[in-house]
Amino acid sequence: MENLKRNYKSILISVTTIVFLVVLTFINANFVIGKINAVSSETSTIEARLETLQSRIAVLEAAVGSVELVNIAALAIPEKNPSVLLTGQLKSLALEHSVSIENLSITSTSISDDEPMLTYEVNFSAIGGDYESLSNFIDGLSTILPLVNLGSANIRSVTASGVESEIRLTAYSAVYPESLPTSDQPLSGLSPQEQEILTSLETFRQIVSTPPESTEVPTRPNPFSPGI
Amino acid sequence: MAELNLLPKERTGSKDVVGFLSLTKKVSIALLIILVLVVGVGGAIYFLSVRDQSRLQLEYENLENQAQSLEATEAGLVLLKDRLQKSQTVISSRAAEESFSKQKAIVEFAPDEVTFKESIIDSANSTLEIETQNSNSLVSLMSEIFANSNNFSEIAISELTFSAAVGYAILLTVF
Repeated sequence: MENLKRNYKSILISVTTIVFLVVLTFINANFVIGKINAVSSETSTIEARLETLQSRIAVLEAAVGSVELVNIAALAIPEKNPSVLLTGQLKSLALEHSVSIENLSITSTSISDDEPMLTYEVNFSAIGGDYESLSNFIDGLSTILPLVNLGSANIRSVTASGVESEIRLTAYSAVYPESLPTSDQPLSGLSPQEQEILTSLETFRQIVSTPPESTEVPTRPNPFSPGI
Repeated sequence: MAELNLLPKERTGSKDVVGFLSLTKKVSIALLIILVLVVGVGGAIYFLSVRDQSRLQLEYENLENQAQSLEATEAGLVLLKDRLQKSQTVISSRAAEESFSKQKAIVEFAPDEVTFKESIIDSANSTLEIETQNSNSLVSLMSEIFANSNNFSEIAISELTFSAAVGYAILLTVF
């Protein structure tokens, strides 16, 4: 009887040891695999972010040259009402082609400020000596900055004054983007179409600003100096 | 050789029990080895993963600093792309300009005797009225137009009149 008891005890201890070791191995394996998975997941996230950041930096470094031309693009579609810039450009273009401009009016035609681009209707009469000068002037309108679209043109030959025209243009403005994409978002450089537009905008007629001439102020003797 | 067992008979277990205990002993040792392997290999993999993660994190932080120094370029690029997309929208919607260029081309390759009278261009119309004193120049103009017909999507004579005072007046629809 005692022998049987001793056998049972031995078997029980052995089986308990095995069960304990199985449970311990299982718990440990689960714990270690869980930890490794968590670290792998975090590493994958960092890798993805790193890749995005690397591509952003590559895009930005490649775009440095193009970004220097941002002023031209910003002039093409100004942030605010382009009336002043446009008036200067029209006058300059008219002068170049010996065309006179009359009855110039620029009115906002946008219904809401929330539109992606605000539009302005530009109406004026242009008078040229002949068809060639006036047509060159109208042709030139498509290469001025700020950009304008020809809405309508009614050109007629008038014996007394050469060629007259009634021209309607559409000018544009748009607010600048308010936010930059977050560092996790991919950034793309200029597409071939955008690069093409930028290259053509570079050739457009830009506003020539002449610095004011310095006026020489005559030096006056100091009335409080002891010599005088 | 005979099996030697000096234990009293009551202390020795049955053969089955001894075999089972031997088996459990082997299983226990195997499980212990597996446990050690799991902890050792898993720990090593975890350690290497954490080290790799730290290296990547450091690299990311360095790149983030580099990206911050390019923030002005980024702002410029975003603005540039925005303006270029809008410029593209404006330029691609030009239709009257194209009609005007076609009309201008007709006037330019017309003979000297042909004079410009009137041109109307808007979103729906593109008409050009020209005059000439003699029919020869009119024929010459038409020949030029036919020769350059590939440059026009549509060109039609809408009206042709003759009067002794003016000569021939021709109204063209040009697209």
